[in-house]
Amino acid sequence: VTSSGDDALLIKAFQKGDKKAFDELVIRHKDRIFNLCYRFLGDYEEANDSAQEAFVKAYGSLKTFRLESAFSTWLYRIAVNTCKNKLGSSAYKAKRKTVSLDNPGSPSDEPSPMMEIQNGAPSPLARMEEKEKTTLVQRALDTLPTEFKMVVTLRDVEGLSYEEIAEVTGLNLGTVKSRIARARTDLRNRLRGVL
Amino acid sequence: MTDCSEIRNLLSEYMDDALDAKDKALADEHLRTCPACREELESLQSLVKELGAIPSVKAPSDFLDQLHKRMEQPSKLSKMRNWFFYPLRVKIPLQLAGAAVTALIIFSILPIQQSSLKLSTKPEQEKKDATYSTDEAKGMIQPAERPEALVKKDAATGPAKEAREVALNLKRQVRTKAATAEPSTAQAPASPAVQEMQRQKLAARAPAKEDKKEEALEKESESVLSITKAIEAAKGKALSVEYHRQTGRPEFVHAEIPAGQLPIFYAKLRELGDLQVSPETPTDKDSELVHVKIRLIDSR
Repeated sequence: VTSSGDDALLIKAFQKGDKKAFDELVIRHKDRIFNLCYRFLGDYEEANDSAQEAFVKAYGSLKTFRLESAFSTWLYRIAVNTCKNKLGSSAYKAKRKTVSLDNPGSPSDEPSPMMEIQNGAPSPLARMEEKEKTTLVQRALDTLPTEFKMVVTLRDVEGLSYEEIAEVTGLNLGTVKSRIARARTDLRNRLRGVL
Repeated sequence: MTDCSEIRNLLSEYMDDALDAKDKALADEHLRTCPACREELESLQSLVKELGAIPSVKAPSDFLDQLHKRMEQPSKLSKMRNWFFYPLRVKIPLQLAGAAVTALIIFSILPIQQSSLKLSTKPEQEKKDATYSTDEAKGMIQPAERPEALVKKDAATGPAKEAREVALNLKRQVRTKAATAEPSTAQAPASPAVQEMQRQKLAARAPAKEDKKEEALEKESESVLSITKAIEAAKGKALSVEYHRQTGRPEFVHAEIPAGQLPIFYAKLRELGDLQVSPETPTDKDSELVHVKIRLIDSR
């Protein structure tokens, strides 16, 4: 867990010319940003590309960043917009199409061997059942329309507050609430019998 | 009693503890008495728990190194942007230099193209006229062709030589005289170029068996021969003979005549028929060769 106070100190140092302070900010936030991109895009390489791009953009704008909002929220916003652009790009759509034709399951079903999973591992059977359940939940999440997937991921996977989600997505609070409610109901309906 | 659907709309926010006090009290009240809505809440809570349990994926261990590499390579866009914001005192001289180089290349290529164009136009035209096919030559001699005088400067000759075009309306008796009196001697002095042209023409005409045509051809050859004689008399050189594409008759004779010999040449031609000469521009050196194009006009 990163503390925003430390972020503020690092940002001030960066703005005074300490370029190394940015590296520290990257180290503190890279996993959350990467995970967010991976949840949105469902593809390891694309997630890496988008996360990198988000940090490059952040580097370019950090000089003028005012500490009125949390750095993490600001960074999320950049990442979300980067992912939205990627989701809309024809290259990404073509890739997704190819993947889905090659493998009818969701591309995020099986984590690639490169991935490190943060997970405590109990008994093998429980692990198998847990894994199967998680797979089904992920697949259901993946099938949601982007605008619903985005808000519910930010809320229930990433744990952001409604206000933070409104800030990250640029949506008003009412829309955030109603979209989350709708996405949850939709997911629950899809996962009846699994939960 | 509150409606179930009204309460279910509140459940998402209820779970997140985001309802105001009034709505929260309403929901609590309803849930205490409605097992269906309680079940609905439990299933949603279970979903949220599952979503929260989705394992996080970590960034690759070399994420920061990759990022450094990426930031070291400026994107195409930023390169363009950099160029856009380049100081004008650097950008304008560079652009001017580029424009100067372009102009230099264009002006050095242009004269070469023009001179090669000049060289290439005429020989092609001559070839076209001279090498007509046998089929075209067949039955093309038509006796009723009106005389036509054309006096113009020959644009195709090289810049070093002067060029003249003259029109010659051959007299019938001259043609006949040339044909009867000196057929063998006229053949001898003809330059190789003319002989070759005539040989080709005769070969092309070979399939035409009709006597009339043979006769006409003979006469035409005679007219050419009488002109070649005049060329020889003026110490000139016959270059080529052009035949009309449709009638197959000799149309032009090209010759090179020493400038000093031109009056003699014209006098010789006047013996053969009516001669029309364009107003002359005097030549500096008498020894210089003048390209003369003789247009033959048939008045038969």
